[in-house]
Amino acid sequence: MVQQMLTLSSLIIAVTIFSLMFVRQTVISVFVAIELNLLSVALGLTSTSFYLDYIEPQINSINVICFAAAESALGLALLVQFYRAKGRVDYYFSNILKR
Amino acid sequence: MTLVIFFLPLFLLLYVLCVGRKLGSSGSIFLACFVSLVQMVAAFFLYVECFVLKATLTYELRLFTIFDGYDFVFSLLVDRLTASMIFIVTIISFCVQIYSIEYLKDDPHRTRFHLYLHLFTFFMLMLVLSPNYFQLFLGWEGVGLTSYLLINFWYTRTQANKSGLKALFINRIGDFFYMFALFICLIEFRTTDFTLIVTALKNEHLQHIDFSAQVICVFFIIAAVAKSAQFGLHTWLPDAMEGPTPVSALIHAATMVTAGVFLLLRVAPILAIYPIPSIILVYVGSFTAFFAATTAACQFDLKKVIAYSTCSQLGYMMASIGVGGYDTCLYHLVNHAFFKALLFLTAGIVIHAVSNEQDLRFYGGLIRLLPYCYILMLVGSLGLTGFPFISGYYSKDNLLEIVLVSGSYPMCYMLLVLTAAVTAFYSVRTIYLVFAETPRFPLSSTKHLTDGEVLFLFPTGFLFFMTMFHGFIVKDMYTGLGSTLYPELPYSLNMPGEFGLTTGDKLIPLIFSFLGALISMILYYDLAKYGLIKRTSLKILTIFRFFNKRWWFDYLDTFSFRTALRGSYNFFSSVEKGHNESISSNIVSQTLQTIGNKFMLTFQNGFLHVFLTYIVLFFALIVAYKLNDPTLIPIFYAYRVSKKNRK
Repeated sequence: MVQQMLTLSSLIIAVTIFSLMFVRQTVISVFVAIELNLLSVALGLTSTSFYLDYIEPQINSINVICFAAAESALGLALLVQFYRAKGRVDYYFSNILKR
Repeated sequence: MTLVIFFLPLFLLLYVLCVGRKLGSSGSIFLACFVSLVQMVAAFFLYVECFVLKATLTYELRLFTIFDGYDFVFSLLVDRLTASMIFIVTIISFCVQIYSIEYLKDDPHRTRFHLYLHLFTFFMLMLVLSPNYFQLFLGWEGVGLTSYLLINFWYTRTQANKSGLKALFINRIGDFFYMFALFICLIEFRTTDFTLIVTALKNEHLQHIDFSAQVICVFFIIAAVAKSAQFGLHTWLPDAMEGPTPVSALIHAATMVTAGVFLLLRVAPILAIYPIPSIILVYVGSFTAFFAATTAACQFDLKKVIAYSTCSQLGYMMASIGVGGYDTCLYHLVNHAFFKALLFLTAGIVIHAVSNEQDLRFYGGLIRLLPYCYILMLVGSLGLTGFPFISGYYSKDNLLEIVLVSGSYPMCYMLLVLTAAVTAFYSVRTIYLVFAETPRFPLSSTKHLTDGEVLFLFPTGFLFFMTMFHGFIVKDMYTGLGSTLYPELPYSLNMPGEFGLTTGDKLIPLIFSFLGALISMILYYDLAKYGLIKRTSLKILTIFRFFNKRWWFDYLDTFSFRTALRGSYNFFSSVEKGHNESISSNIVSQTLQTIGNKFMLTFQNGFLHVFLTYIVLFFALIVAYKLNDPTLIPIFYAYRVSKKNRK
């Protein structure tokens, strides 16, 4: 059981990383990919916790979910401001500081 | 008498420096003019004593002694050459002092101006009174310095600053050559005395220094070329016209620029021994005469026309020294000083009258408004052209006859005769553009239109008189029988020049002058009828631009100077600073910068996905290495696809 769970988790991680690498139309897609990445990590931790019958990975996974929630809140706020400033959320136009 | 003439300017300077604030501006200037007057009167007596009656005075002052082994004492020498130079220096200095009172009436620094003039007179007197080359060098440097100070008199003007520095720097080249000649003199002869060197050269036991003597001659010629604005180092003289007009009259026409000629007249006994330096001198002089005259014929700035004509006349003098006509050279120098000072002072009045306009194209019709100036300018120009029985006629014709009768320089003679024609051309052109036809200047610039100021009338009138009659009065004193400058020289060209030519030969320069004047009259009458700028063909315009831009010489000059400066900088940065520094600081850092710009930035471009790709890539590499698993290789393909996607 745990093997399938871990496989699913690592597959989702791979998918998110490759989506970070290849799917870059908007900032939102990048954002979604990061969220998914963190969630799959949490999934892997949880399944490990069940397999080992050990509480610490679950706490860690809750920790990760908390950070992901905080990060998503911050990130969405930034995204809204970004949209107001630029009128679009395209990835390639997001390097304002660089110019 | 000599001591009064020599030391009065110095005492005046000290006196005004100490108690000048008690005297005030007007008091100082009155004192300066009075000292000039005293000098002039004293110089006249000295002239009679030493020039007319041919006495030679020597004063050993023993104020200080330097050069232990070389026996140098501060002393003064007055012979015929010096007396005639002092005569023109003091007279023109006095005229210019009087003239400047009116010319710089409203200037806040006019006291300084008059004192600079006196400083100049002092140094010029030191130059002409010196019995050796070393003391002459002190005066030589001094007049260079005062020339700079006076060109740069209105020091807030950028152009005046530039011109002053240019004059100083170009003269510096000549000064270096002068110094080299001086050093060779000291090494070879152990003295710099004029007469001692000539005596040593005549000694049979000292024949081995012939080569050195020739080198000395050539170096002195180069020094004179710089000082007298001959071809190659002439560019400072037209630019020096940025200074006030009285300065142009005193320094850049009458006295300082003739210091080079004076030096060569001092070197003359050595020049007479060796042919090669003389040949150089003749060619340089005659070419300069032609070059400067043709340039003057196409200039539009009134003062620059006169400046180039000065250049041209100095070329005449140089050529005359080269062929051996030393007396004629001095004669022409003195006459030239008078009529050129007259021309400059008149030009100053004209420039003042039309509110400081110097462009010939914006004059016209001044004959009715400034009739006195017209008379002065006409007489000055006729003197310059060599119109019969005005002073320039005697000296210039005499000079040309001597060049012809010397027989060795037919080409130079042709050039000089052509120059006479071109001189007539530009003289008539200047008069035509300034005085004839209708006025071309705006009415608003005629506020101060007058030539009736008393302080203008007196000095110009005096110079007018000198221009008219001086040449005739003193002709025999300069070039007559038994009145040569150097009676010890084996031959003189004066008698062959006077009696050895047919009337036809003697009339050649005159005919050419009239021809040049005639062409100018026809041309400018025509041009004035059609308006000043007539539509001409492109070919004529190209020729005109060639002369108007001074034979493109200024461009060449700038280019060569710039190249030399850049080359010396490169030399400095590559050799003087050391190769190690240049390799380590320049080559290595530049290579690294190039690599960084061209190569590294393609990988480290700051995008998140690129970094992410590297992380995945190298993670996969490590894993593939550890597991020996070839199934992970498709990740590399994925990387390649990602690169394609990005594009």
